[in-house]
Amino acid sequence: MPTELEPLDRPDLYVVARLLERLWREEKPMLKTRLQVASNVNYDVFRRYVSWMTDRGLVMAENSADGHERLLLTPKGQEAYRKLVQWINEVIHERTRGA
Amino acid sequence: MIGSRASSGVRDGASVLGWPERSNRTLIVLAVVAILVGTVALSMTMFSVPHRAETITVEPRSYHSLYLGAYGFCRLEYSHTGASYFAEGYIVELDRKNFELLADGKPYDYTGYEAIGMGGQGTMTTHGALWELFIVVVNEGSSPFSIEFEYDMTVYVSYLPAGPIALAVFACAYAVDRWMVSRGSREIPPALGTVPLTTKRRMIQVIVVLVLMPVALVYAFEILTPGSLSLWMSGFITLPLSLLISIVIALFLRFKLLLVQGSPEDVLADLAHRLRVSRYLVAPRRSYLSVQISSTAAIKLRAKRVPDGTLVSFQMDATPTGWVLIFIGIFLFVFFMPLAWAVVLFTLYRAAAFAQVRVIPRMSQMPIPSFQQREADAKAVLIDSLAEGRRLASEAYDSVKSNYEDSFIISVLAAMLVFAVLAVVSWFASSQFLEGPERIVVTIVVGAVGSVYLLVFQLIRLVMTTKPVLAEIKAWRGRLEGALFRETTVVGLADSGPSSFEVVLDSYRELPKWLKARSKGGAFRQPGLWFLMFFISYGIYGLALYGVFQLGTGNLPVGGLFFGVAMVLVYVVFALYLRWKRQQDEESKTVSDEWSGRYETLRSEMEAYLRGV
Repeated sequence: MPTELEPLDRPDLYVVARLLERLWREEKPMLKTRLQVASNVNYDVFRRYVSWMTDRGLVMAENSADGHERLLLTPKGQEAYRKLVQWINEVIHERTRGA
Repeated sequence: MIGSRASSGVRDGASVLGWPERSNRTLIVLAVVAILVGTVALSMTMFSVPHRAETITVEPRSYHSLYLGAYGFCRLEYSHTGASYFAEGYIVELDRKNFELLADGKPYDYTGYEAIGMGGQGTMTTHGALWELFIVVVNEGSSPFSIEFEYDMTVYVSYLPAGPIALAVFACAYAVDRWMVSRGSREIPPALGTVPLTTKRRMIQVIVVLVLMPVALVYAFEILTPGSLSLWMSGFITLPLSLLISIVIALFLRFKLLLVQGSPEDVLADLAHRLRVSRYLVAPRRSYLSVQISSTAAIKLRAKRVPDGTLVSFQMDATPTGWVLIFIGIFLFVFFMPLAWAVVLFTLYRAAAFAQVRVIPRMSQMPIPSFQQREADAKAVLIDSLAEGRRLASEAYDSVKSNYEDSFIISVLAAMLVFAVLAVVSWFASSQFLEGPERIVVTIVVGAVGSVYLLVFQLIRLVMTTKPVLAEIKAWRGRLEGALFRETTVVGLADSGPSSFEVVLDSYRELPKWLKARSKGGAFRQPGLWFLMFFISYGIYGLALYGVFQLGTGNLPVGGLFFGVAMVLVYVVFALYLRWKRQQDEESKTVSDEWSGRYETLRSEMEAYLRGV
């Protein structure tokens, strides 16, 4: 029986971005175990992040025929990642303009 | 390791080694060694005049001339004996122009004069630069006289054989390079597309003109210079001056590359993006892009609106290391101007090769996505951020390294100065109780101990403060290069490891340090100011030395005046330096203050955004 997940109060930007980026790179749905390796957090924390991101429509789960659960980035997740990347890019260029 | 993969990575699907715009460094080193060895060997054997002795008889109202051409650096010694007591003559040393004036019976100027007669004899020895010399024995008397004349000239390095040897060696090196390419032992990767070789060919024609120009200018100076000035305008002045003119022209030449559609801003933004994808260091400036080709060469790419579209042109540029080589050559005028000239022409060729093989194909690739489309593409934006971070890290690394090397040289010079000061002080201080060899030994030991102590202390301090900074920036550059490599190539991705986003965000925290390090790049951030300080310092040295000499000979008013002017100039240099330092400190403080807390703000803004999704 899966234990009840405690909701994330303040998700770490780095972990969310890491998950978004890893899924963004994959053209196909990605195995949860592989994504957990990429997230560099333990499985419990990873599940809380996945749950948090699923609740917000950033990722969606997909059950495969082989019985493994896979994760996929939603268009909203893609947009969120693009926005984060563009944000930091704008700030860097604004800071270093003419440098 | 991502970093190590990047360092052995590929550009445009080809090996990093052996790009067409890159040179075969082994061959260049061998060519330079061959030129140096060949020039010395040929100069010593063909241009030297081993000891000769002859009896010279000069008829009344006539002269006998002896021509010596070294066109470089030599040792010359001549002597004359045996003139009769009543001989009425003299020996003059002339350059070619004044010799022709003498031959025509016109007034002339000389560089050396010695009277013959009264049974006189004399010896003259010269070490150093000598272009052409006419030694003329003139008989002003009414009866002939004879002298025994002996001379010996050893030419160490002559410019005359250096030119043909350089051409021959580079022709051989080029042939060997082509042969290696045809054999397949040196790989030249294919360009992105097939382009006609017009740019490179046109550049070769320009370089031929720039090579021939100094020769023509030397002859023009020779013809146009008045006789009175020709003493000052020997080949040692006219050749470097002609090379300098050729260098200045090469630095300012702009070459048309391609006519394309689109606004100049979009064309440059597209080009910058494409070059960054190929992991070139691209620095966008106000009106052009500066792209680093190698450790010394760079290229400026400009776009200008014309009636039919946008014209893209290029101009040679250099990295700070390249500029150091060029400026050293220019400042050491006589000795190393040919080096600066060769570096400039070589950079010009590399810029043309780069424009031909790397820039034109990238501008012909279709379709070129619009700037707005690229903004919407997360990958393109990531590449842009990583490339910008990598550029800033690389420039910061170069600045810190350059300052480190400058400080190293300054420490050695300071140690030499301390040695001199301590040696002088101990020499005078020991006058009461030491003499002879003991006094010399004590002087040297005191000077050496003081200077070595200072040098070792300074170098340890320098290494301990700079090496960690260099290592840190290098590690960051590696991280950014690794991430950029991952974004620009199709490779199997590891599941673990930091994301590119993390690398960019983390590097953002380092930016103030990098910008600060870059702004301390000194001479090459504000070359005008630093060269002004250099020239004034050089003037101070001359004035102070002359002032001390005059004071030593008891000429107090003149000595005091020169010394006073030198001191005023010391104050000027010091004030300029303090102003520069204050400006740097203010800029650093502004940057640090502005950046302080900025990272945390940005991070919380992003987290707030994610929470609100």
